[in-house]
Amino acid sequence: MTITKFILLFVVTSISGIGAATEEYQTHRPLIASTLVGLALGDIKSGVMAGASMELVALGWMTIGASVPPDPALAGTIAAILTIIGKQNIGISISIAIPVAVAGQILQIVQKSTIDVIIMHWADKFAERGNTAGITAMHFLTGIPSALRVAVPSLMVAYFANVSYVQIMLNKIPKPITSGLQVASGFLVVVGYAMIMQLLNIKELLPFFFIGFLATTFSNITLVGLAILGGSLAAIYYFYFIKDDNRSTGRSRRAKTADLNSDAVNVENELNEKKESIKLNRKDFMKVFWRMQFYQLSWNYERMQNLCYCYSLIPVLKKLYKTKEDLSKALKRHMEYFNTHQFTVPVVLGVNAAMEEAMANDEKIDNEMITGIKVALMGPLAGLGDPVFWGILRPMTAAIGAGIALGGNIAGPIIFFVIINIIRLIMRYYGLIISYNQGVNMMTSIKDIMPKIMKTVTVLAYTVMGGLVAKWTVINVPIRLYSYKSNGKLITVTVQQQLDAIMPNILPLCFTFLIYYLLRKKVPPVLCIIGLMILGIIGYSFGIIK
Amino acid sequence: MLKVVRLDERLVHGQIVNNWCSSEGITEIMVVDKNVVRDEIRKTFIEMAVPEGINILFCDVDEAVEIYEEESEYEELMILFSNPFEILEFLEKGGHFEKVNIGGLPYKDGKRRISTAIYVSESEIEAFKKIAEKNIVLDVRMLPTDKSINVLTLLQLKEE
Repeated sequence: MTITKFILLFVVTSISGIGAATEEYQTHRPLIASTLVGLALGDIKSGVMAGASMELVALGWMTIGASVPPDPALAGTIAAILTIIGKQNIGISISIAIPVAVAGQILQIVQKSTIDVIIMHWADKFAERGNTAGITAMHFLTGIPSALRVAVPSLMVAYFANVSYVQIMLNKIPKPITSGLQVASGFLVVVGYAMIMQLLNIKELLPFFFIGFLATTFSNITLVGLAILGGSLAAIYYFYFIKDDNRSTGRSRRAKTADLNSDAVNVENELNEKKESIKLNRKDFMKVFWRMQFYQLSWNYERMQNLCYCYSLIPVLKKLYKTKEDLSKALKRHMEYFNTHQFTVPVVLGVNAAMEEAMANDEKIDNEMITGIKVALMGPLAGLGDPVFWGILRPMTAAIGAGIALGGNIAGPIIFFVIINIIRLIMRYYGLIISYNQGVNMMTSIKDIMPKIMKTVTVLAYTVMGGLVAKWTVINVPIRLYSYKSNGKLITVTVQQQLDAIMPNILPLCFTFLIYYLLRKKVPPVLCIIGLMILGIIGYSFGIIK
Repeated sequence: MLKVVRLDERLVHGQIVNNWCSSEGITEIMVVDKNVVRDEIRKTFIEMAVPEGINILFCDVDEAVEIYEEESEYEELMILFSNPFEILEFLEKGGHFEKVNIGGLPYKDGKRRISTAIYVSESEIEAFKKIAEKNIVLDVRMLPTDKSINVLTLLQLKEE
């Protein structure tokens, strides 16, 4: 490996590392991380293919609150490095990348509960002195450990995979294991599908899953076709079944609390009336918008998004509070514990900016109220953001991208990157502006439409999932059942042929529901992956699966 | 049936909605918190985050003790507390369950860390010990698929 390639590899793995910390551009998803490694090493096609397979396995790996999954960034970089430099098949690469990703998860926890906490404490001191530049610097300083966390292990693997005796060792892995793992990589993806199924979990919408499955099994439908089919079904479902449905299913008891909203509205009206002395303008919000591009970089285990939040709000605070004391007070206020979904955080920032503005204009708003509204919003907004973005939108776009990329087509990662970033930018910009203008009022209107939107999107998600199960799960049972002579030719009938006669793709379907069942029984996903790998090796050794 | 009793300062958020509700088949969440009961804004927001098909109730400890048995007869119930003191109060006033899941207690000044997402103060440790004395399992876990650790083990580890 040349020194240029080594440096390029360092750069791209650092990008994935920072992506893993911010979860902003999704450069930490295996599909993109592997593609970048492929780009650096001059073998894009292998990178794209390794990334696609890894992505489908890792579809359900997502951070929720303080809970971290195996590190998708490391999984992606290692899978590509082993495929390209180590010259291993994708099955082996993934099988080695997964345990490394699990180790990466521990590394991430250590980094974010030690180094990042220390840096955040330095930021505390800058807040004390009202030094906004210092806070900004600390926020970005956490980018270094984040980048190194992925770059260093990746480079180490690249170095060792390049050494001849390691390659000889890898090549000495017995054939049943290498081929068995390659076979397993064909159906490991069901773990990803099952994890998403578990999140969607609206049982009465499950028929849409089967519609997607059947449409894909019995036609040559493409992914885009599948997405359009899902979209049409979702539209039908929305307009004919839920648009005017106000029966508030199973929520009768809510009446008890729902009519008590008047207080909230009163507070809101007060807020609205006070907006006459507006001081913040679009320029200030654009500054906040740009700051949000690296929002979650400094996430830490002590106070989570506190530094990220404080850093993002600095333009507003600087404009509103002119004296050092006032500014320092405001900065310290926002260095308190805070955590929500990173795509819904602009809503909190917008509402907060409006209140901050009112408070700076000497109105009846105090510290307590601002902290109160942040606390009130963070949980529920995380509760909305996690299933919508991590549970549905990202896995859907990633799966479609990965599907296109399985054959080595670079359009796959590009489509994923573009779509998810458009969604992100829309949330970042309009979330901020609308919530600033409408304040808490907006939340009450979201409350009514949200369940309907969720259900509609779930219809689309189920349809696409059903199609994915049929399209990209490869299990073949070539074991011979019986043979007979017809017209003098010997015809062999295999188990697979018999299964196909009953229902093509029935094994992928069964595997998906088996894993879905195991996950519901609280079997950890990594254990399911290992189980399937062992099944692949054993199945291959005995010639049952191919 | 009373499925889960959880302690989580953020109350309803991603881990609850995404993971616990689906894995336990929850049909009703009872938020027991004397501050939230009186805070209409917070109630509105929490209602917004609760998925379709799941009831949400807000009550204080007295009301919770009164109704939780009846609710758990008809619903797959999850009781959510935001602090250990109200759990203790709930138990002292006659409420009963076997296990409480400790999901998240964030950092505040003077608290110490005992697990990735759990920070405790001295008074909270006292409350945990009192809860444990009532033979109740204190199970530290963020997600249902995480490994369960008893809070007492964590406290002892840190004291040694």
